[in-house]
Amino acid sequence: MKRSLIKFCGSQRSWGWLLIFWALVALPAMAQPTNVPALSLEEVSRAMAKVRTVFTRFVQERHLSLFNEPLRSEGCLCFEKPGRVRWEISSPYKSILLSDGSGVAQFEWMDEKWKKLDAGLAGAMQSVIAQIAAVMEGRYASDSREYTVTLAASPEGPVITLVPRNATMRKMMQAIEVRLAADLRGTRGIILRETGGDFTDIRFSEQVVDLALPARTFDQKSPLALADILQAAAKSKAPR
Amino acid sequence: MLKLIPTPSAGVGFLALACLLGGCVLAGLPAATPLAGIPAQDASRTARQTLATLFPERYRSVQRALITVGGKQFTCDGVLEASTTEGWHLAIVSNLGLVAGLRVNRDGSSAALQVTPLFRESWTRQFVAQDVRRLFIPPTDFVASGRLPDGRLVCEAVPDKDGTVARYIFSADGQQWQELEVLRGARPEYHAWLRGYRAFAGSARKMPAEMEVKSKRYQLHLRLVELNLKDGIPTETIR
Repeated sequence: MKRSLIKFCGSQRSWGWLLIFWALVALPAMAQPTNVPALSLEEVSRAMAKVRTVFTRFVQERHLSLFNEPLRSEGCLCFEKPGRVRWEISSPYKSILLSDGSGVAQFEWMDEKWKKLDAGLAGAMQSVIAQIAAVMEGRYASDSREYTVTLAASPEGPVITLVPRNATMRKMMQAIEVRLAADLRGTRGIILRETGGDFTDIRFSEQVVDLALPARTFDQKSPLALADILQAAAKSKAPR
Repeated sequence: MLKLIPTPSAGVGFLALACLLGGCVLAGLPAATPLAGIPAQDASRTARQTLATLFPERYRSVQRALITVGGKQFTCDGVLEASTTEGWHLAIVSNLGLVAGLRVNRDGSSAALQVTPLFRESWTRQFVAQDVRRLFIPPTDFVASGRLPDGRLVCEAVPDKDGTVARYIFSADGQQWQELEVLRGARPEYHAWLRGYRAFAGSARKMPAEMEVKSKRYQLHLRLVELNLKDGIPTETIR
């Protein structure tokens, strides 16, 4: 029982993270401006292999059926090959989850300073992030046996919907919708639809690809302040 | 093809969490506080009023929780909504969705509204509902039982059927609730400290923005990061 729970939780979490990163990096690059062609996972792999770094701001809203108002948070996401990830929430509290490729670290802003946590399930988190790195190299996208993928047009831009094939996964997550910009120059949002009506809406903005992320962006002992990363992003190419 | 296989350490971690919540390890709890002195009637009345008006009747709050189990730390968000008719609704949310949903009714009963594979229903009922009751639903029936050596006022609620007694520790004048001790016989079961009192926009009352709990099986550090009084007063964010 415990074993199956562990396996299920690991799969579900990994699946969600992988799709977010896949959508962020690969889908904009592979989408075509007209006629919305069928997805080609080979194209996804090729597009993903070219990306070195990503920076984006995000607003995340969790819509829970228990409540009328969503739970809202804001932050920034950084990725750098090989396997470096930083997911930072800046409001309504401050928290950083990061990996330097070999291990994960989690920090909470408490008593006016960053406190490094002795994070539980660190192995699981590193496993997830290691797979994100694999995604960034295009290996994951070369196999679509995990989901059914469909592409639909909308006035705001194409919407790619991923439905897990695994029935157990579908008990937790019904679908993930990836909303591309009308000009196909970026991923503007992702909706994770859970069973029971709850959903998480993540909207990205100010995406920058292949920027030079400063040293210590992914430092596990003393990560660079977000302000310095924002400065680096602003100096890079125009937002996608 | 990549397979999402949990690592051995992940498995150990989750098993450890399950095992610890099941009661395998005891966290260090402070000894029961000895009482001294007779409480003043005025302070007792003030303490009663303090607890009765500590939280608004209707509000929505967002909390950031840091849970320590067996030396390992886990974070999650909590949304707590209080209403005069439906009691208290709490949702616990992790990075990728809802972990658990709970309702505590005005009569003290509780129901798991949403159960997910991420968190056992029994944990929701046993631990989460207990924290909601103890921290956010103060009792209406208690008596002053003494003073601590430092002069602070101690009030005791009516014991539960199993003999568990909750002791509420106030400032000497009874105007601020500072700690909660739960004892079974002479044994400490649960201790909470309430800090960071502050007033929210539109209300003169001060509420604890930080709560720290030590229990036998886990430690909890709770920060109130948003509070919205549900009478049209805008949300205020604490940073």
